[in-house]
Amino acid sequence: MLVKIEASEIRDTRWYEYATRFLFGGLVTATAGLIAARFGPAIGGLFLAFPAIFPASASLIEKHEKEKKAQYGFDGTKRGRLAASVDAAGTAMGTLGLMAFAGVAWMLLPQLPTWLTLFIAMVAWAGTAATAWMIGRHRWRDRHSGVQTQKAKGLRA
Amino acid sequence: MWQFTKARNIVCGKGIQEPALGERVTERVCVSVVFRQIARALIVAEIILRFCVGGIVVCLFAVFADALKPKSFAGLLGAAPSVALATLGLTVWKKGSAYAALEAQSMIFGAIAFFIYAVVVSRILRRGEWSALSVTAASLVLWLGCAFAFRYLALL
Repeated sequence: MLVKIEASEIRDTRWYEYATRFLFGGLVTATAGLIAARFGPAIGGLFLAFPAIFPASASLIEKHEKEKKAQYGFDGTKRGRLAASVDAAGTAMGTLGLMAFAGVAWMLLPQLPTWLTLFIAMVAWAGTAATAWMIGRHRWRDRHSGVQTQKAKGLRA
Repeated sequence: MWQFTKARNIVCGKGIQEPALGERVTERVCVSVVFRQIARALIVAEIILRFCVGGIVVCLFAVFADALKPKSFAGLLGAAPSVALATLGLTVWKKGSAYAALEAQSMIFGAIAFFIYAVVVSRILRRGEWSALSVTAASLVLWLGCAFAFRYLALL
């Protein structure tokens, strides 16, 4: 399945769901600043990778999947949980990108202008996360189409 | 030296130690009170600025994630560096690039903890019976534990 953008999906999200994300995001950013000011950059920096909106996003995905199933008269509880699980698996791959972002920012911030460092760090984040996602997807496909088992058998023979 | 009368109402704010009426104070004390008030106002302004910038950046990533298909790819944006983007620029501006680089170094440990957190949450949701909100919220303790443990180990 190709990666695509569906603008219609945005309409399914209500204004208060974005307001919740704004509130959480704002609170975490402000709190990270306060923690850094009180306990120093070594502790404050940890909170730059705090799962700020992940709980809200995962529960919203679960809720949307449940609602979709309910439209056809089914109980979508399990389906909703699975959708949230898939989202979490994607997020785990995204964290590899987050590590790359942090590594690039750590190395380049003292040497390059801030805007350039943040731009390179964003490119590193996107590249690493997308590569991790593609590798993960290929491995999953191989495992489920039985190619991996066949390869293993061939090697043993 | 001068008599401290009406001026105290102008330069001394609430919560700041202010001299009693009629008390003699030096000009230096009054200037320091003004500076403290300005510093406090700047801190509040910075917190509000961080709150707004952080909220906007997080919302932009959320809109983009909502529109993306498949959902496993959209999940990548769940670990977008939204808080870092909103924070690092302001930190460099206020405290310099060396301080921001130290924050970025610590962020690596936070990201490793986030990876463990996301993997555990994904597995529990696939096999368990609990709702997404309860699992993700309860597992934040795991993130905190891992992040501080990695940071502590790195300092050893």
